[in-house]
Amino acid sequence: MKGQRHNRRAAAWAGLGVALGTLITVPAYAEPLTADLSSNLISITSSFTGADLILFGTRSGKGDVVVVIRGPASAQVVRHKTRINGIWVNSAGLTFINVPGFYAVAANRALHFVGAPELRLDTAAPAATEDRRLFREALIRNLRRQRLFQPFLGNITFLGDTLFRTNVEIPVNAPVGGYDVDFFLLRDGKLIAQQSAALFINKAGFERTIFDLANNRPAVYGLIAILLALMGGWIAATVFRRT
Amino acid sequence: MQIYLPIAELSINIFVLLGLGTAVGFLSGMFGVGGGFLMTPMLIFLGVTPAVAVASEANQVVAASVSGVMAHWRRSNVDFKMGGILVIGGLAGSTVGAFIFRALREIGQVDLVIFLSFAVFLGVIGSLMVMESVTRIIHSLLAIRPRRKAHVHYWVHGLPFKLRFHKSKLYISAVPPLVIGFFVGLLAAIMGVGGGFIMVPAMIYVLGMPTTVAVGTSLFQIIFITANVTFLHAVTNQTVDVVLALLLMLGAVIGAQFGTNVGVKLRAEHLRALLGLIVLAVCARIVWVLVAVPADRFSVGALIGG
Repeated sequence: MKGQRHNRRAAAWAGLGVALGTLITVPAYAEPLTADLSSNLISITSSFTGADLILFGTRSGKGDVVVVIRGPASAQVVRHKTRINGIWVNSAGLTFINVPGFYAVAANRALHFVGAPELRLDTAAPAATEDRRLFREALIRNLRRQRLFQPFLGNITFLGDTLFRTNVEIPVNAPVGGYDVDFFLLRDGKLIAQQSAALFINKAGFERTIFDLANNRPAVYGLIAILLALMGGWIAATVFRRT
Repeated sequence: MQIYLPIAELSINIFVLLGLGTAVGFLSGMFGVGGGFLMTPMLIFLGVTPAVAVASEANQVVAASVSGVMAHWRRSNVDFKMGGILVIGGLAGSTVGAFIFRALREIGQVDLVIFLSFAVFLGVIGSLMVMESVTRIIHSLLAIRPRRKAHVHYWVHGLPFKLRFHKSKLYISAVPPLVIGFFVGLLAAIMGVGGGFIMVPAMIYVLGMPTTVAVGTSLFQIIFITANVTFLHAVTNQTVDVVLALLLMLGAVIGAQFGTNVGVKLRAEHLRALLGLIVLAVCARIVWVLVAVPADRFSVGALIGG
């Protein structure tokens, strides 16, 4: 196998790169897959408009690289609008449990990968197969439109033979929490190696204080909001007082 | 310059928010209205979810009403007794409204109810304003002077629990103001408005209050109602975005100053016709959202409740 690769490489470099090819050959003891992300923590501050995450790594030997990123799961309701008396009204709804708040897949080429963490979109209650298919498609379509689902394949690029990288766009509406990033190395559709990394998206600073207060101490938060408004109104009236 | 709103969870240009606050503040200063009935729909059009728009706008209206009531208070144009009765009705109404709002969110119908409420109220109020001012403009052109009664007495005033309201020069039952307060409180909780655009006409035409006292008293009671709405939305829905509210406040304060200056230079009926047209334009936009074929007939939202 190794010899075969050398032959191909030699042909590609047309005799020029024989020495070079030998130089960048990965040593036999290397991990089959080593990968990481540019940042394990994304902080949402007041200037946050989304983030660009770089995922990179090396592979030893040939193989396809697949990356799957999954955000914290929650229950989501898909609702179908129908026209009633000329007005569009939410009618039927179907609840999906364990919908990842973010889901992105990247690979170096379009491929069928059986071993990847499956995107299970189970419904809370049993539903007719046809309904389930329609609502499931609608769920994926809506989340794709919001950039929360990016199930695109074929956007990992190789630099040389071993180094790979890809960019993943974390949209501004990405939910906060822990994300799982899984890297896979496949050869002929079979899993050779796997590596996981964690990513946290958290609100930070002022945004964090407000968000935490609003969710953990809603009564205190409500009173502060009222107090701020009372003060704001009073200051405005005093500053712009007419005589 | 983009700013991330911590509760609305979206990034909006800070100058768009300040500009919106200033524009609506300008109109509210010019016409002497709260502006909530324009601000809430505009926030929704900007992409803020209706639940956050309603709750945060209620918070902003608290500030707008405080600054508005000060001038009326100094001129002694607030009937505190009448205001107190309206507040009792309004607190009950807004509390019921906040729970209805929560229930509507759970069944996924809150957006529809908010849009329908705005379509109906903006449609009716806008049409009435335009019609009334056009009639007046025609009358003034033809030099017709309609005879007006000094004080109208309806059957509702004869209900039990009669109270004397010195400032309003009224001796009427406490029931009508309680009912009006309740109804406007309900609207405040569901639409994120102060409800002055309904309260003031109701005070003048149903309760028979003098116009000068009606505006000041309406602003006074709105403070309590919108504060209650802010608190209840914060507790039951966690949808009050103070950053959003503060930015709108800042814009509105500045806008209101310019608006008031322009307002005094225009004639009342022209002013009312103009406001009526603006209200109808916003109404038309909302009706369009309700009747236009949606781009995607399916929508996705987080499961609320259990």
